[in-house]
Amino acid sequence: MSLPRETDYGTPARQSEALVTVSIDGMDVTVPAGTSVMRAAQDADTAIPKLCATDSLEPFGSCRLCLVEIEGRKGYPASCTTLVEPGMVVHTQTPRLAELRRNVMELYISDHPLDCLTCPTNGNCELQDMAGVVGLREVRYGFKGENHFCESKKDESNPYFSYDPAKCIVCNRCVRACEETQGTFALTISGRGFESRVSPGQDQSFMESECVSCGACVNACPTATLTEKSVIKIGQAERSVTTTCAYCGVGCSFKAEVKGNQVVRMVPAKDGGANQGHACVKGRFAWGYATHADRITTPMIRPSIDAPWQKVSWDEAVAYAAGEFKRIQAKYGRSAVGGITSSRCTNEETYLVQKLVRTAFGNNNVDTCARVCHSPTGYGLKQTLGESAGTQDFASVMQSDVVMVIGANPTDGHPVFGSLLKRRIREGAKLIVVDPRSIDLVRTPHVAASHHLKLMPGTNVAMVNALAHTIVTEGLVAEAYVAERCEGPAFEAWREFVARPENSPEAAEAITGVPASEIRAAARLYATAGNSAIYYGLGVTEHSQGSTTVMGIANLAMATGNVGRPGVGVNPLRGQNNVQGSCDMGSFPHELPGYRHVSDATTRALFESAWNVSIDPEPGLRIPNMFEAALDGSFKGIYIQGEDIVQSDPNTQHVESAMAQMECVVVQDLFLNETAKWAHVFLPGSSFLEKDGTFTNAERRISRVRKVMPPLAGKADWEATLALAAALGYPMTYSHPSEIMDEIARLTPSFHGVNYALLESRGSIQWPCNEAAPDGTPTMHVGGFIRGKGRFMLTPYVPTTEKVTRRFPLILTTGRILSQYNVGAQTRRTDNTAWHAEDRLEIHPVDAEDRGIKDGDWVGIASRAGETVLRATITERVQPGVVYTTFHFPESGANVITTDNSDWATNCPEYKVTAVQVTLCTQPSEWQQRFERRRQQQQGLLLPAVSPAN
Amino acid sequence: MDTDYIIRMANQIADALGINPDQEQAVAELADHLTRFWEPRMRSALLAAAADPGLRAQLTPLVTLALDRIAAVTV
Repeated sequence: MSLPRETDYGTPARQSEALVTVSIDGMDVTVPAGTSVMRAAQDADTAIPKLCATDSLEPFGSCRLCLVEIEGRKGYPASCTTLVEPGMVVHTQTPRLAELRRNVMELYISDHPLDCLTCPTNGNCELQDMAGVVGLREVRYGFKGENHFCESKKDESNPYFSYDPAKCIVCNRCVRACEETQGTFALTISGRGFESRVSPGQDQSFMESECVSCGACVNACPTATLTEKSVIKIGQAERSVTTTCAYCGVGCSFKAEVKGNQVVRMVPAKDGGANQGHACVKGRFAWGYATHADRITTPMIRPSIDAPWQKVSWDEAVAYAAGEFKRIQAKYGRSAVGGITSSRCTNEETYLVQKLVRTAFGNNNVDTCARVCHSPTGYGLKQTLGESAGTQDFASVMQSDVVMVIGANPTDGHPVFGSLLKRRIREGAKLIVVDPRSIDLVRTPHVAASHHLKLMPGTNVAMVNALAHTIVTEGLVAEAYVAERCEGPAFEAWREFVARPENSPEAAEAITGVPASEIRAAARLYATAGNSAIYYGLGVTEHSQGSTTVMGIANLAMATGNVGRPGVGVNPLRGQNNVQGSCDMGSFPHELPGYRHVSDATTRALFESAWNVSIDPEPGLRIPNMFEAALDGSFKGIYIQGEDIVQSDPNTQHVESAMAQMECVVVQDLFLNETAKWAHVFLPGSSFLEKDGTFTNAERRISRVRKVMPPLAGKADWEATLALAAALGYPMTYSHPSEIMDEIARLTPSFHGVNYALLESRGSIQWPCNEAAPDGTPTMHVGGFIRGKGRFMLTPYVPTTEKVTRRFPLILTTGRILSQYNVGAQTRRTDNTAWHAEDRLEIHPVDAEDRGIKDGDWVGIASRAGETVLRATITERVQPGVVYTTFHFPESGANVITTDNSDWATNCPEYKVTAVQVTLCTQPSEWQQRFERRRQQQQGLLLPAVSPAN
Repeated sequence: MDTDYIIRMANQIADALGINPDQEQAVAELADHLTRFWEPRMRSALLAAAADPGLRAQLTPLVTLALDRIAAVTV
C-alpha cells in the first residue's frame, strides 16, 4: 500500500484579479485569468490524465495525454497549455478522447518495460496510474520492435538516486525541474526522435555533470527513471510525517516517508512555507547520519579527559554532572559554570538550556553558536531597526527589482533560497554581488551579476560607506521616507558623515580594490531600481567590524526607503537551522527570551515570577569570554548542548588550552565530536528525527519538528535537560514540548499568539505573532519601525589589525560549500563526501606560481595563531592575495589558523580575515600530528567503554 | 582575564563609538556598552587595568573616560 498522494494541479497557480468562468464537463468553474484548462478542471475535482504536466513546472504540452474537446474549436487541444477563456465549454471525457488517450498510452507502453511488479516505484508511478486511468488493455504493436528496454545502461554514479533510461518516457519534467526549480541547467534531452534521451551535461554521468543533486528531477519524474536508491533498497514507505530540515537557515519543510521506524526518503513539502516543494542535496538526501554507527546512545562519564569512558545510566550520568557543577560552584563561585545552547536543537530545547543556566546555575553565563556567526546581526539590526531579525519572507525576493548579495553564497550555503533568487534574476531582476570571491551567482547559467564588487576581505565597511556616499551626494536619498520614518538628527549626522571625502568611492577604491566607477554604478542601481533588497551572510558578520557593516547595510536600506514592504528589506541569511530561534529564546548572556536585556527589572520580574528564582541582573560570559575565564581559573564547568566549539571556534589551540582547564565539561551530542574529547560527561543527543519541537528559520518562520522515530538513546534532548535540571535541584515539569512553547508564548510578547494548535492548522507562522499580528508577520516594519523611528548609525571604517606583512603576505578567508554543513558532523557521515571528501585551500594561479605550487600539492598555511596543511586547488575564484578554505573536517585544522580577533560589539570572531603564508610542504603540521595522536587516544578510551553492569 | 585581551577589546569598542561628534554622548555609549554587554569580571579586569598607570596608558582616552563614569556610578 502506498502513501496517499498530494493533489497535482498540473500547472502552476496564477495570480490575477480578473476571474474567468468556464464550463468543464457541465460544471461552472471560476479561476484567475491565465489559469490552464487542466488546473481549472482540477479545481472542480476533475483530474485530466497527464504525464508531462506537474504543478511545480510551466506547461510543456508534449505528452498529448491531456487532450480535451472545447466547443467551437477544432481538434483536441492540450489542456495544460490552453488557458481558460470566458464562456469556454470544455469536455474532458468523451469516447473520442478516451480512444486518443489509449492510443497515446499504447505508444508509450510499447517502449516501456513491463516489470511493474518488481519495479521500485510500483504503486507510486504516474505512468502506471495513467495506463489504468485510460483503460489500456493491450499493446497492439508488440514488444519486439525497436525499443529502449536494454540498450541503455543505468547511471548509478549519484550516491542517492539511480537513472534508468530504459524507463524514461522523455516527458522532459526532469529537465524542466533542473531549469525552472533548481536553476542549474545540468540536464538536457540529447538526440532527436527515437534517439531522444535525458542527458546530464554532454552525455556525462550525473556525477560528472554540473548536477548539484538537489533531487528536483527525481521529484518530478513520473516513472521509475529517476528513483531514490533508498526506495529501491527499502521499498515504498507506509507513513509520512511532516517535519523541518535540520540543516541550514532556510528551514525547508519535508515529508519524512517512513516504514516502521526507518526513513525511506525525505520529500520536500509542496506547501512548505520556506521551500515550496524544493530541497537541496543535504536536506533531501543527507539524513543517514541519524542512524550512523558512530552514534553514541549510552550516557558516559569519566573523572578526567585522559581516563576511559564508562557507560552509565541516564540517572547516574546526570547525577554525576550535577554533583560536579555543584562542587565547582561551591568551590569557585556561582559564576564558575555556564552553558551553550544549540542552534541545531529546537526552540524548546534552547529555551530549556538557558532557563537551566539562569535558574539552576543562577547566572547568565549562557551563549550560543550565533556568537560565532550572526551575533552582529542581532546587535546591528536592533540598534537601527529595533528588532534582531531579518525583515522579509523568502518569497519577497520574487518582488525585488534589484538584489544585492553581500558576503553570502546562497547557492552553496542556502541553496533553496539560492534557487529562488536565481529564478527571480532569470525573470529580469538585477543582481549586485559584493564578495571577495567569484561565487557561482556572479555568473551561472542564465544569471549574471550586473556588478561584482570583488573587494578585499576586511573592507566591507569602506564599501558600504562608499555606496552610501554615492546615494547621499548624488541626491538618491528617499527624502520623504526618511523624514517620515527615521530619526532626523541621526540621519543628518549620518548624511554629513558619509558625504565626507574619505567615504567616497574614489577613496574606497584604494582600500577595497574595486574601481570607484563600479561602486557608483552599483549604488545608483540599488537606489533607483524600485524594490531593492539586501541579502547578506557571514561574509558581513564574521569581521572585526561585523556589527558596523550590519548597521551600514540597515542605513543603506533606510536611506533608499527599502524597508517595510514586500520585495525590499535587510535579510540576514542565517547559518544553522535554528540560529534565529536560539537567539529568540534568550540564548545570549545579556538577554532574556524576546531580546530583552537582563538589566530590565520589569522583564526580570516577569521571569522571576514564572520561574520562582532571582535572576542575575548582570550579563554573563560570551563564548570567547568563557575561554578567557577558563584560562584565568574562574570558569570551570560547562554544559554544551549540540555544539562543537573545539572545531568551530577560532584559534583552536587557544580553545583547547581553555578546555583543558575545565573540571566538568558536559557534552550532549549525537557523536563523540571534537569537544567531547575534552569532556567528562557525555549525554547522548537526539537527531531532529527523534523529537518534537519547533525550528525558526532566517525569515522568522516557526515550523514544527515532528518525531519520526523514537530517540535512539531513550531521551529527546529536552528530556535530558529536564533530567539535569532536576538533578541540580530545579525540577521543571513539562510532559511535551508544546507545554514549553506555551510558557515561551506567555513570557515573550512577540510569541504571545504562538502555540502548537496554531502551527498544526497553519503549517508555520512568522513572528511576531501576537494580538497585534495574529496571522504572523511576513514583512516587518510596515508603516513604521519596531523601535519607533529608524536610527541611522555612524559607521567609521576601522581597518582590522590583522594585516598582511612580509611574513604573512596573503589573506585567508573561510567559508562553506554546498554538500557539507558546518563542522561536518552530520554530512561527513553521509555519502555527501562523494562531492567533498576533504577541505582544500583555494589559491590564485599567480600566488601558486610564485610559490611553485601545483594543483593538488600539499601546502602549509601558517598564521600568527598556528599552522596546518591542506591540499591546494588552483583557481581564479579567489583573487590574487587571497586564499580560501572550508572547515568541514576536523583534521583540516582550518581554525588552527584563524585568530582571536573579533567584532568590537559582539565578539563574533573574524574568521574572514587572517594573514597567512602558504608554502609547499611534505608532512602534516605539528598540530595535525598531535590531533591524530589525540584522536587515536580518545577513540581508544571510547572503545573499551563498558557498563559496570556488564 | 588576560589584560591585553581586555584592553584590546575596550579600545576596539572606543574606535567604533568614538566617531560620534558629541564626545559626551560617545563616552556615555561606551560606558553603557561595557555595562550592558560585559560580564562583571571583565569590567573588573578593565577597571583594574585602568588603575595601573602603565596599563592605563594603553587605554584610549575614551575608554578611561567611560571607566571613570562607570566607577562613579558604581561608587
